[in-house]
Amino acid sequence: MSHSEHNGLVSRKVAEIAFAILLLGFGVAIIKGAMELDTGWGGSGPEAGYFPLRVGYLIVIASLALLVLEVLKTGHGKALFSREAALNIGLFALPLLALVAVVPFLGLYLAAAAYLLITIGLLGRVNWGISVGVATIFPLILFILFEFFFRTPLPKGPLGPLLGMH
Amino acid sequence: MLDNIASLISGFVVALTLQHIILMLAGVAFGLVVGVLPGLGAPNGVGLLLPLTFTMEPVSAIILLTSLYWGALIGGSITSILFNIPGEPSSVATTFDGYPLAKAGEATKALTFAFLSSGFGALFGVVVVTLLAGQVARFALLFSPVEYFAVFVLAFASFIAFGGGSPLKTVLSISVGLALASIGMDTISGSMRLSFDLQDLIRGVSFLVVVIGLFGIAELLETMQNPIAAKPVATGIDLPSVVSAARQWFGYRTALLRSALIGCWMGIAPGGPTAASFMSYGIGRRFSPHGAQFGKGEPEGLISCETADHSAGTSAMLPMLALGLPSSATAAVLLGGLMIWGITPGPTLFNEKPDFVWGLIASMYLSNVVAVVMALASVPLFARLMQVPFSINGPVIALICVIGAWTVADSQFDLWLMMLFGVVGYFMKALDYPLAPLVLAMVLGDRTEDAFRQSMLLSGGKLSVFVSTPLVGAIMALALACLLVPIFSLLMHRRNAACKL
Repeated sequence: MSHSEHNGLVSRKVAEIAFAILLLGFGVAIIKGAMELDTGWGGSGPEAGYFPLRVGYLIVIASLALLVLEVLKTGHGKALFSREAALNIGLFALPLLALVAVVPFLGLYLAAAAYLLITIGLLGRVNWGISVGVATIFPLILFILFEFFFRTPLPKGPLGPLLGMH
Repeated sequence: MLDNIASLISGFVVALTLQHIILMLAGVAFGLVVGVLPGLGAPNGVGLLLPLTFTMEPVSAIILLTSLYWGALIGGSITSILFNIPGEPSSVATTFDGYPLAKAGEATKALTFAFLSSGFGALFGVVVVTLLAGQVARFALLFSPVEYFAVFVLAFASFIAFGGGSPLKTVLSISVGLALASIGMDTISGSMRLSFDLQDLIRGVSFLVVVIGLFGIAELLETMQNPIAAKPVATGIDLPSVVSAARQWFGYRTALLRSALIGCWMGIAPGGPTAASFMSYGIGRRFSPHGAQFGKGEPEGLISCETADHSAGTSAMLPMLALGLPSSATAAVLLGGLMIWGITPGPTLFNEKPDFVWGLIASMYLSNVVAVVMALASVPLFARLMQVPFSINGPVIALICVIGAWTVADSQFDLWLMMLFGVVGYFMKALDYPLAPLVLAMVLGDRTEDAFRQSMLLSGGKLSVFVSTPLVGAIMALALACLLVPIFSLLMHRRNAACKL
């Protein structure tokens, strides 16, 4: 594997091109959005769409230029990340996504406890005593800090009615 | 200049209340933690704490957040020296000589030198701010929207010129930031823009959520790639060695002064601490008699970058307050905070809110001394904190980011946005897109656009207004020169390559 220029999942070149295309798409979306507004001059100088439209053009031009330069480049460059790194990132990102997804149902405190227990105990293979400890104490500290000290209540989910708080 | 000193004394009256001293201590302590831990940098740390300050007095809020910034700048150098891991982008240069020095058994010396140089640089920066504040504010009074637009263009152009890396990628970073800033209500006509019929986009995209994604989640993802347990070269420091190191440190007066001046220059002209530390290191290597030893554990290398880093950090407050022009990502987040607290940065701020301005400046004297003392005292603690396995630290930091993003506007949509920008930020970092210009453009976007539209209104739509006076013409010419820098260096590169053939 070590002979080839990239032995990972994605080569640098592919990633550069994909990202430039993504930016190109973003630029086109901005232009389309700006076109729905007035993009010219009105009584009070440039109208609402004037500036976003030009910014959109700038994104499209710059990303196209980058795209052309990258396509013309020879060689694939170093691998962006190895299979192992991709796995590590996935194992970190997926539970985090799940945490964000369950906040509307569980509230932040319960979701946080479950998230910490799963990531530290199950995925991190830290001993269960420590994992359970962190997963109870940390959300508890957050609860005291945010509900009483900062007075910025966080969503409590089913915990709210249980504690008689909203 | 005398009236500046009088104002400073009244500033100390504001800063030296018990509440503000407690906020300084808390800010520095939190900043040190933020600077040490990966995934929690200075911009992200300030962003996370900002929503909690919405209800505070603006002067208390800015004292808390700037103290955090100074703490984070110093915290970043602890990990650079002990672990060879820069906690902050601005402490990358610190690793060049700090880590070799620590590895050679001189960790105490390296840390003492770094902290004292930081303190010296920071205080030098604050003195410069104190002495120049009145003058800069008076100068800024000459500015109309036309000059403001020119200054914003210059700020963006200087990122393209001096940011390093691909100029095209810097342009993209800036323009994406500008586009994101224009989502939501148009400040002049009041019409809804670029909301793509999404209810959640009507209030716009908060720069805080973007910062937490780009600087928090993205950095965590990057760290997760190869989570190896970090091992420090040393964990403790003792007082007698600190004192003897401090004595040696006084011998580096020339380097200290040179680096502090470079830092102030880079802090006031848009450049920021990261650029300042690299530039000072480069200049030191070239002109110092010890230059050849740089990179091999030369104390002067360490002193050069640390001093410039911190004097740039503190002196950057001057253009931020007087012009609303931040020179680093963290200053941009602070500037966003000012606007949320209802404070309009600009020259009139110095007359309208002297308590705010001078309270902040006075607090900077104190909090930087506090930061040096606390850093010296807490090295063993942080060395241990860094050794907590990342399988515990990582999820806890990620959770703090999620809560920080939630508190911005109590919105589930913001959590998804944070994740999105986390992934985008990861790829931007991996592909060498600069992140700071994006944040800067997001914070300055509305004001850049307003300044442009007001200029057009004043001139009746003539673009020639941007060269109509010597002042605006000079600023625009400077901006144009900045844009030519990458083209020029490309041509030089080609020529050199051709000569070699």
